[in-house]
Amino acid sequence: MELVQRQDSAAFALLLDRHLAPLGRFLYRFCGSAADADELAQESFLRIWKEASRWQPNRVRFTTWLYRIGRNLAIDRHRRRRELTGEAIPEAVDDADPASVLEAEDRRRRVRAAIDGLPERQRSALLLCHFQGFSNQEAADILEVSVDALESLLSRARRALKTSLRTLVEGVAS
Amino acid sequence: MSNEPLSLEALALAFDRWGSDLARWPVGEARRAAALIETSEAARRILAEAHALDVLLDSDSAPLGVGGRARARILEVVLANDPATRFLGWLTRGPFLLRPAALALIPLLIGLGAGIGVSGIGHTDDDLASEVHMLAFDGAEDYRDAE
Repeated sequence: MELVQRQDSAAFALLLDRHLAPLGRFLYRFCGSAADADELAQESFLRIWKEASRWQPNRVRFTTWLYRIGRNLAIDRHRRRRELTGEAIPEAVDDADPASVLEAEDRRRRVRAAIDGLPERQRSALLLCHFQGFSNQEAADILEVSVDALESLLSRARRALKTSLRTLVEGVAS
Repeated sequence: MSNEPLSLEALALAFDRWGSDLARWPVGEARRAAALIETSEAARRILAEAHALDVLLDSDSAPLGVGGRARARILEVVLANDPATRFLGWLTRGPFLLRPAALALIPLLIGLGAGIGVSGIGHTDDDLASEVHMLAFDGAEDYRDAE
């Protein structure tokens, strides 16, 4: 990252190789569209490139900074879209949707709908901890909340999911 | 960290906080949970439920390559703004003869041509040179006679 701060494009390419795909998956789950995820990931990294000199390693980890930018951009986009279309929560769209309606696909869609139905902060907490593998402390830093607040968000998210996916959870658990 | 046994309610709450993978839990809490799970059927049911939720969440996989498709576009923008690339681009843009690089070559070529021309003029013929030297003394004799 220090090389990136000196506008070293080769170092930036390495950074992309390491962080672009995970950020893309996070944004995909966050906004439900692969095309949106690609655009938001692109925007996030270009912002990193432009503002690299402002990053202070002793204040915030690089991944914390990156995911904060990505999430904020995604929230801004949803907000603008909602103002234009009145759409409350983006509908999950799978660009690589197979034609078949297999049971697994149906289950996946129900899970996706349940995740999308969570309030934004609960959803962010769950995506960061469960899907991206961040520790609770790291996720709390990204969301700029305390660890207690983050764990409260996670608890509420998991309880809500257990309720909305009750039959599926019972099926898997048995 | 408490050494007291975990209650079932506390176990359920902990699963909600940290998920079903005990490796992601704080070490002390994970130990207490493992002890309870080992001895309690109800605790195992809570674990199974928490694990089932995590399995369901994992079934919601993101398509491969998402995000990665942006790589080429990002690097294109970055390289277009790279000072070295920008300078090279500036040097080589426009029709061939109007490119800054080509224009910069013109004075260089003129200088080279002039240099070669001057060195050609400056080269003297030895015989001619000695004749010229002798002519220089013609006037000197007349000058001495006049004195």
